[in-house]
Amino acid sequence: MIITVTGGKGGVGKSTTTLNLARELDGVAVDADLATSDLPRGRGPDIHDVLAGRAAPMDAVEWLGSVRVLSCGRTLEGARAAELEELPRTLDLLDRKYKHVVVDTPAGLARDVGVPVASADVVLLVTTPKKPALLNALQTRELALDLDTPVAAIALNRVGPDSDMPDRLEDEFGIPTTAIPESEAVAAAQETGAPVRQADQESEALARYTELARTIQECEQRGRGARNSVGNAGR
Amino acid sequence: MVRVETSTDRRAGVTFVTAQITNTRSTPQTVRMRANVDGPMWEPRSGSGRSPEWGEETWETTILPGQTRGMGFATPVEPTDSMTKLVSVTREEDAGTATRTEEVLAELDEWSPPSDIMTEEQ
Repeated sequence: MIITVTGGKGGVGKSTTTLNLARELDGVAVDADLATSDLPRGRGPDIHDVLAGRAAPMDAVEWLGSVRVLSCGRTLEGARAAELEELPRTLDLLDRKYKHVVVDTPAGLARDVGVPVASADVVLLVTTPKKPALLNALQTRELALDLDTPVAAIALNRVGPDSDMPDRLEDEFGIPTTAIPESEAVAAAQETGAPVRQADQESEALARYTELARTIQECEQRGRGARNSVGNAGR
Repeated sequence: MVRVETSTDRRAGVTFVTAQITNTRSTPQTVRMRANVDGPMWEPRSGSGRSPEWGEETWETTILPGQTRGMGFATPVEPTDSMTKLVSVTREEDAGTATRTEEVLAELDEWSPPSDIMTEEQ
């Protein structure tokens, strides 16, 4: 199952969500933010090499701590050589090997977001409760619907404990919403580029990422054979 | 296959015919049905026009896997056992979806790496 993590706005926690979800689903995190990547960097070939035809997708996947990552290079030359059109095939190959492929995307709504959204089985929207982020997430949702990719869940980051925003989002859009509080555990994990499970197994944030993973798995079970009926309520 | 269940209701000299068509296949199917009556038939009208599924005495629509659609018409003819006829069932071509995806992607801004953002060298 290919899960594309997106949301339009930058800085809302897409990469953190990608890494943690890949860890909780025991899948592979793919850094498809080809120019401004945030996921930890490996030592071997990266997605630039794969998309330029210099490496096979499986050869570029490596364990970074407790999570498998297909990381992204950091050079302009690498980004320029990467063929975005090769991404669907790359994700498809990874999907055959790993049960869950979790794809991080850049901010915005350009083709480098559209291609991984179109290639995915489901989309996970990431946003914060702030208005600009919510508006961007809704635009991304429209794009996903235009591309016939259902939205499986919303990850609402940095939400206060008393906020009614998660319930409001669920009611309004009919999409399961997981609230992930701002916490020291997340910050500590981010510092080291590790998933929260590796940093603090007792944290509330980890419980929420586990819940998010369960939502995706339930969606996967329901979605078998009825791909377009999942999570599209409220269109 | 598709499953068709037809029922009739006779009131004040008019027979109301309804059919439920279920797509039991795993792919979308385009289904054509016809009124099988020897006499006048009146298809439903919305506003001043004909319902979009109806052409000249035939009804056509695409039904997704596992879904059921209903069609119906009225006629002065007495009820019989077979007042609807399944004309054809064809698999909806997947090409339509692919083209649509390509169209949506083509409308998006083209991607190119912004040179001012990438600073870290390998």
